[in-house]
Amino acid sequence: MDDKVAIVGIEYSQGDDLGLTRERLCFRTVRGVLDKLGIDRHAIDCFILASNDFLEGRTISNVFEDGPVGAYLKDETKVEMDGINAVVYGALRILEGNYDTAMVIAHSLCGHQVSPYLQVQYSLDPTYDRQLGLLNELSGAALQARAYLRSRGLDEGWLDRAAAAALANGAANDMVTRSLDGADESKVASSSYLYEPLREMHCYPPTDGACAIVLASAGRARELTDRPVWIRGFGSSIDSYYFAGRDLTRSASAADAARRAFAMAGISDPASEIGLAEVSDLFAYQAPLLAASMGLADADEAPRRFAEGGFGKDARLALNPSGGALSAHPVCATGAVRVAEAFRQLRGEAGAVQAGEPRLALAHGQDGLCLQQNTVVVLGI
Amino acid sequence: MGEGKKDFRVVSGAWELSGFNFRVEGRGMRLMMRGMKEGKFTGIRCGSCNMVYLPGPFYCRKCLVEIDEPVDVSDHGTIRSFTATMSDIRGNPLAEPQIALMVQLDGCDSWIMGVLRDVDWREVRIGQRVKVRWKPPEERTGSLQDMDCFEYE
Amino acid sequence: MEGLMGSYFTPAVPMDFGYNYRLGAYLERYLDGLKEKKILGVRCSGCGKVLVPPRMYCGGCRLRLEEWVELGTEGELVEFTVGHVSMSKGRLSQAEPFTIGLVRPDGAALPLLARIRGADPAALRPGMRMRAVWDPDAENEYLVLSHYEPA
Repeated sequence: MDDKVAIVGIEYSQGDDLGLTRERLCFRTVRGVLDKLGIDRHAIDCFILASNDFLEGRTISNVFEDGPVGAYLKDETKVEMDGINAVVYGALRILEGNYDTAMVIAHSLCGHQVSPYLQVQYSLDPTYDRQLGLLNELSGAALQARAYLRSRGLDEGWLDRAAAAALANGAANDMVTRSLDGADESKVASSSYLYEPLREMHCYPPTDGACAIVLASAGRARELTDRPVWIRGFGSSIDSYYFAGRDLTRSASAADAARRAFAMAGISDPASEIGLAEVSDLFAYQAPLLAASMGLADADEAPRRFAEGGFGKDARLALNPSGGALSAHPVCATGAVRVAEAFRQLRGEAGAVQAGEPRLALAHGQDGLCLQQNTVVVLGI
Repeated sequence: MGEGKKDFRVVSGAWELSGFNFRVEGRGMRLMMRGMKEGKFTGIRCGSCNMVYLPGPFYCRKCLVEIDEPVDVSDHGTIRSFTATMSDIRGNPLAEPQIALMVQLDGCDSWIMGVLRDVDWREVRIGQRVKVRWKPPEERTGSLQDMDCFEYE
Repeated sequence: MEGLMGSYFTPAVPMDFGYNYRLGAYLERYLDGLKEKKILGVRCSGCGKVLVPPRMYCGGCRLRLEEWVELGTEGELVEFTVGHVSMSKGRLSQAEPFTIGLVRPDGAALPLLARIRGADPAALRPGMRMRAVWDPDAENEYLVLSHYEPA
């Protein structure tokens, strides 16, 4: 896709407990991006919220959020999925031609308000999996982790190194506030087992967070910023709910989502063309699994290289220099944060975690058990 | 379904969510309740558009700016809407219908809810002037209950 | 405004909701089968796979499944994990280690998630032969197929 829709501004924050109500978090985030762009809320044509009613603890939760997000008496709709899908929806609204600007606001308060595991728990089949009582987000991920380790000939020590590599990236990132000091391999290895082989520090932390992203049409984008980041392509795909029937050592739906996004972006060789990838890796095994599934890296080489820091900020492909979702997972905002991280990398604004000068970046979000649903956005400058 | 009526087997699948830890903005409500103990209302004014809210939020929804200027709001106002409740929550008829009001207090842009007493519900009209009947000072605790009801001016 | 800026209430909100779900004809028949120590699946006329637990449609082929198949009470271990926590209302608490695994019953294309007992987790390997152990008196009818153990 040519220069049609751009991201012109971002604002986000994430942490174990931000000490805020959802209203104040949303207000602060939207106000922040408007101030960066030097515009007021009337410059925004449509508002798109991404949150999860279940995690909000009230239904149609956006009816309470029109005020603090600036949508009072404005065009406002909601996406009940990971926020990256709200970014895609915002791009579609602009491509459709009736809107020149769209504000995406994704947020959740899983750090202090509610257990993040519940939303997956109550997404399970109530007539079978919930009656049997064996499946949950962690036991499903553990089965996938072990299947992945086995298929690649890796031991549990690899998981410790992979998690330590991700958390080291996160520790260098000012935008992540997971309260972990010196999360090295031995510290990861001494965290307690949840479901083998997954230990506590192989798994995402409960996180508060919000992310606002302003999209604009080509003409409007150039008025709002001299460095628009263009959306080149996007794609989504969903696999069967029945995770036991999938090949857990890869993600067919991530591969399919990426294939669609690359086709739209005119990318034929993603492994050499994409310079930066930000993926929603909820568990330590997922970043290399996703990178390989999406054709960014060799399936055999990816896990070892990831654990050795071979996808660091100096590598030809930087994979999750932000620290990824393993460092902070504000459910619903996580995929939008990946887009925001890609945005600041492409603009050279990522500070301590800046990964060279990428020209083309991939952002990824997921929903469901064991990478069931995946959405990919390709961004370029 | 084609099977006609039959006894479907049913499983219980309760959603147990009591673990929620909600945080609710409290500043404007605390400010209002603190004033109510003294028999007055305190709202918050937006310094940008002059909108006065009661209870006051921390932001103005029109201007999207933070607001924190306390402002006195009268305890007299105008009925903007009303309804009469004929039955209690279980559906039993009430001896006397209860009148619920939406009132715009003088000096305030937002409306508050309240109960109107000592008035025949058939006589209530939008635009009618009302005032707050406060509880006696010694019974006021700094809560929403400090306001007994509305009555005609 | 001293002491009021940024303050918030944390009210307690009771929020437990009761739902009743219909099992549907496929799971009813599956559970009835367990009482007779039978594991029932359904074969897809498109891809030929036998799906378990049984369901009305094959997602891949978009076909309604009509052919019931009795599967073996033995099968092979596909993957397993040892749990060290239990989850209740989303909260984790420490638990005595327990093993759960994916066991593919003979004749089925998909594995079932089940408890594994009677085996040292260190000795478990994918491909190991497992057999179903029954508990006809189980209070939870889904657990009439109590667990699997090495065959």
